[in-house]
Amino acid sequence: MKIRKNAYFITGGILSAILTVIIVTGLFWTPYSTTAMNAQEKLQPPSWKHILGTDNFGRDVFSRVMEGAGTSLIIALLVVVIGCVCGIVFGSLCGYFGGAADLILMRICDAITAFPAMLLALVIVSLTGGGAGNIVLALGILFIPSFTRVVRTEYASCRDLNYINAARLMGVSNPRILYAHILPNTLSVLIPTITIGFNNAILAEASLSFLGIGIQPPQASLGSMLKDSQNYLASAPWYALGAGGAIVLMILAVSLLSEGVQQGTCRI
Amino acid sequence: MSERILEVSHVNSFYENKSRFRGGQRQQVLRDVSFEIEEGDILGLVGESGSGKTTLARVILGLAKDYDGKVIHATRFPQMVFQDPFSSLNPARQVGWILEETLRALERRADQEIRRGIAGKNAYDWIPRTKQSREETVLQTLEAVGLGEEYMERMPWELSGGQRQRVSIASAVITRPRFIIADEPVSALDVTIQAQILELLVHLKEKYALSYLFISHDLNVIYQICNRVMVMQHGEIVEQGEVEELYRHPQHPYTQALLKAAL
Repeated sequence: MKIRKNAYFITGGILSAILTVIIVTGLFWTPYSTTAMNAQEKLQPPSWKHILGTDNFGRDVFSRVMEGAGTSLIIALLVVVIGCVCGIVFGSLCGYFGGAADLILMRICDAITAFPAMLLALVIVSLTGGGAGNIVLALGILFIPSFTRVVRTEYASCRDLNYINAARLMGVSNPRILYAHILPNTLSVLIPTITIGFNNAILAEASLSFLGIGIQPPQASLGSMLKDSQNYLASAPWYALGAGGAIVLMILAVSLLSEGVQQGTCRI
Repeated sequence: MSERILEVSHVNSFYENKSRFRGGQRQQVLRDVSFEIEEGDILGLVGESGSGKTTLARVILGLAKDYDGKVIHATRFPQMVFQDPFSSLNPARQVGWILEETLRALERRADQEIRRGIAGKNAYDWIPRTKQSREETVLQTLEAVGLGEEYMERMPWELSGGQRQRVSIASAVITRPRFIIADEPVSALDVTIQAQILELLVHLKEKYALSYLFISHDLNVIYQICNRVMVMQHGEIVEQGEVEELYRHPQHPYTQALLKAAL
């Protein structure tokens, strides 16, 4: 796939690259320990020593943002991978073959989407107990229907086109028609869906942690940092801004990148 | 006497009108269709829209399943060139990939036939089996349809209608077929490009010893390239014969009306 350069792609790419470097570094090394408390330095404003200030326990906010963003990123990626892979498998089979299986699977999707996603996630996570693994599983399952629906529509519309007829006529096997012939044609719809899914996953993980049933302390998470920071909103706004800004930047980077890819590959 | 390529006898075909509430209505599309194609023939099939021309093509190729009667092929892997050059090429793939994929699919089917003993062990020795030899074959075929090496990496949406139709034709002839169904191959093109594509089809027929079933609604186009012609109305073949004879002395009133309209 050739991508023509455009402003969205370049800004999104640069922003994503910077964030990736910071987040990946945060997985192995942070300027300060993310858990060591220091009573003398609590709620310090940003300075050269602590560029995003410190929190109510005297922990370095920047270090905790690095760790929390890393956790969010990994969870969001896994959630999107689960949703996307299952969505492609179910959606392609439903859309291409149709029939009773299609009807049943799509009604199951309807049933899942009928509940507010956050409520369902709350129920699943509180039943299974918190922890990153359960969050990934719960959100992943909730993300499957939207991917399935999008992929199914694309497959159903491609199914009877001449180039697929031609492929069938040549004797191309069904799996190959599904994944080598039709799948590339769904990318123009799939990429934005993945982006939106990724952004929703980051927000969903943050929301769960904000409600206190996601990532458990002392492990840092952007959501739980926001929760802790709301008591100090007036006295230490940098605490909330650090965590909130990280969420905004991550979503912005991915959205810009996706917009850039779309514009760079769109047909004239 | 030349070899018989295709024999269609007493074919009736049906189309299910799917309706969720009233149940399916089975409509008859083709009525007792019989004809033959001999080696070297370009058999024209003419008729108005909805008369069953494309359905007949789909029956012959096995794409439509609901029919009775007999369709006997003397050759394997008949190919089809579709009417709409804009939907017959995969929009997400390069021209080179599309043609190579045809070869990969052919290789798979040839292997199946050899395993089942339908084809002899050496029948498909010409099929290129490495990436490099596939590319060479693709290049030769592109040249044969009048396109250069630079088209290998083009995307279908970068091509004009005529160029796309050339690629479709390339993807048909790359399998070394002996019989091709061309379903309105020039109807979507403007007149000068039409002439070029018709010329190409005739040239390829000579070069590869092909036979065609050439579907069209345009009597002038049929007259230009076919040696025999069938006239179809409401799923029935109302008249067939040599082009010269049929154009000069049409017997059936529908044929007479068609010819009058074309003049």
